[in-house]
Amino acid sequence: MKKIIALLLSAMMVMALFAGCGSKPTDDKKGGDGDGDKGTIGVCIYKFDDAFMTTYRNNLEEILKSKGYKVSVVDGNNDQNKQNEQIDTFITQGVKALIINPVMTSAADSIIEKVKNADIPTVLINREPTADQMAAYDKLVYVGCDAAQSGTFQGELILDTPNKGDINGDGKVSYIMIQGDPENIDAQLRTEYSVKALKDAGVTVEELDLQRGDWDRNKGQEIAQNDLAKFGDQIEVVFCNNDDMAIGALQSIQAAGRTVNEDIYLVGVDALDAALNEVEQGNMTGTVLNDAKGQATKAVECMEELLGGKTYASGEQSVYVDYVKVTPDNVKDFK
Amino acid sequence: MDKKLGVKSVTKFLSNNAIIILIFLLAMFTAWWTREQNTFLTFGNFSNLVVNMSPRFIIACGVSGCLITKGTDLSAGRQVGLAACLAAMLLQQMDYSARMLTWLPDIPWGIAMVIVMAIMALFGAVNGCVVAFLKVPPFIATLGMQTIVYGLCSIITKNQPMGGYKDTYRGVASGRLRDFSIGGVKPFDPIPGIREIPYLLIFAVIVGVFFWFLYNKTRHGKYMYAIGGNESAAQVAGVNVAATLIRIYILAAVMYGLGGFLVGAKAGGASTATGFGYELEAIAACTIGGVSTNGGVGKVSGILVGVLVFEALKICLQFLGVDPAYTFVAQGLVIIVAVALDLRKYLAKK
Amino acid sequence: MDGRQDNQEPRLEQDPEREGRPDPSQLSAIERLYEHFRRVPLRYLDIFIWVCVAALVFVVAMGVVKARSG
Repeated sequence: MKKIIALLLSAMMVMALFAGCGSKPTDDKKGGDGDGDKGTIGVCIYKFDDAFMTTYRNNLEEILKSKGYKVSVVDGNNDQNKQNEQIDTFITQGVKALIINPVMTSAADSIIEKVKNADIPTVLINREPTADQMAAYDKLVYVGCDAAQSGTFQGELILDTPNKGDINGDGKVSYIMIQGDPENIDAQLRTEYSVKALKDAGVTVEELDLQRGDWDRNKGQEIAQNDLAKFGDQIEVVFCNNDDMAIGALQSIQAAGRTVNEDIYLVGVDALDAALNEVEQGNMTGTVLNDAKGQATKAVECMEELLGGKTYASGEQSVYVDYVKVTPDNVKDFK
Repeated sequence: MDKKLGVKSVTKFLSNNAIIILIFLLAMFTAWWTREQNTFLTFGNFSNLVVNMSPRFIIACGVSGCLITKGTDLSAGRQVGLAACLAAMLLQQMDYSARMLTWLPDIPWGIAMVIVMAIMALFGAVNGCVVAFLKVPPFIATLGMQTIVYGLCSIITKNQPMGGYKDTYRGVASGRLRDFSIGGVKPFDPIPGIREIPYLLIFAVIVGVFFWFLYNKTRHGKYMYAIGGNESAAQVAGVNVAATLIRIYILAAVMYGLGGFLVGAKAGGASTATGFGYELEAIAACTIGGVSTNGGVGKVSGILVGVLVFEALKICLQFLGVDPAYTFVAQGLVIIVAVALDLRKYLAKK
Repeated sequence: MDGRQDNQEPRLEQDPEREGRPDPSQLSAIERLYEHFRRVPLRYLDIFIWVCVAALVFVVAMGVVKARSG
């Protein structure tokens, strides 16, 4: 029986080979013209269980649908190989444009090569490849935030506190840094610029610990727990590259009997709803709004410009949206 | 009497090939559902299926040996990841700014591939020895190896994802026969049909033929099935069980090496996260294809069918626009049904 | 060689009688797990399989409907 099936399958495959040999689907970019709608946009997210990207893609879907596009969103599951396969399938499906959130920016070359060969306008989001990589294709643009700015804002949040972060009055600000995943340029820049903002303002800093939290809440909690046990009252500031880790760290801080904004400061990035709550209640010193809505709007805007025929010269392929500082004073504006 | 036999054999046919039939129906449905765009039953889509399937088929062939001898290899995924990272380190562009091994000269991808496969063979040997000599159950042994390999990968790559590959390396995954050139001449370019065959398919075909030959025409293959059927009987009959098992795990690791090498080329990058979870899909594909987890049976054609089924499922669900969450549930259900059918076959046999 | 064969023969005669349950020490981990289900009548297993297949069809259908409406 198996042999018959195997034969049937191979016969089908051969038929498909010859049947399709003549037609190249990528030339035929109808993509649903019959209905009069605007076609399908393919969206590739690096990982669905990333809290920030969830907000982002919900915004994307809403905006695209309101403009009359059909949207298809897929999850790369943190596997670049899988994402590439999904891009291949989108190209075969004949989507009008792609919005891609790369799993590994170091592998951006193959993504860019694929979309270039298929001549599909593409917007890269949230994870920025190098300008050199993007220069290969002119119907390509990156929309994101200047990660350094979010770091600087974090530093400024600490500088805005009454004692500029130096709670115990020993003349220096002792902090622990809970980092995202180190490949991500955002993690690197936030780590660097948050501290730089303090140093540039003339504050002496002391790094007690730097650990990799992979943007994950549980890891944030574990790292904070270990450091609080190890360094105790020495810790004055807890920098977290994102809110998810900060909220995790908050659990450990409260479990250790410390009180935020009294004997310790805690900052994150993203302005997730949960974080906004904590800032309002005084359990977080502040956060930085990673404007998912603003970025999504800009991404769709750029996509429509690409569809309208605009091309981007190399060196001008990065479009940045501003971050916004969130403190207990203005937190109500964001809820 | 005749009618009864007819119904029984139909049910048997259905239950033996239930999943294949289901996915076939799904493919038909997808073709119909998306008939307006007319993009599903195309050469491009078929080409994608073949390209997606190839490295996974190679990995599944590797695992099949372990499964047929009533073992398993949970370290497959991480080994693929390590292989991809090793290949990455060997094949980055000379002028890449974040080059890992700056002292390394320019190496042809063929040499790098062989090096990676040779290194992975060592891990296979360790697995094999632990299973064969220390008599540690393969589940535990390979589970331990999984973590060790991941740790080694983290150390070697310092957790830095790698990219910046040489064009020739990436070309292995994206190229087709029409790109193949010897001495400036492209012999396959003018031949219609043949020129579209992707390199990855050629790798898969070579591996498939090799394994078919190994399993059906060599003593090693006979020993493998014998051990899977009844290990002590095989031993008593004079089979060197330990040597066969070690060979199996080494071959498996070499296949992971090749698979990882190709996955890296396909992805254009590699990191410690590469290959994570690939063993689950490989084992599931084998199970769907008739390589029973209780050993002794399994054919290369079955493995091919199993892998195709999984990849076809993924492509269909994306074409249908199904929410990724539902996709995960669907894939899980397919795996459960495959294992349940396998269990049923086992119980019905005895 | 002969001595060994002699020892084997009595055992071979016993085996068909003990056909029911294979010796657990001979089995791999998966087989031990599978043997566990021997008490379950095949019918229940069939029903389970059909339920899973139905669930699979249902999930895919849900996914398609959601995609169409969404």
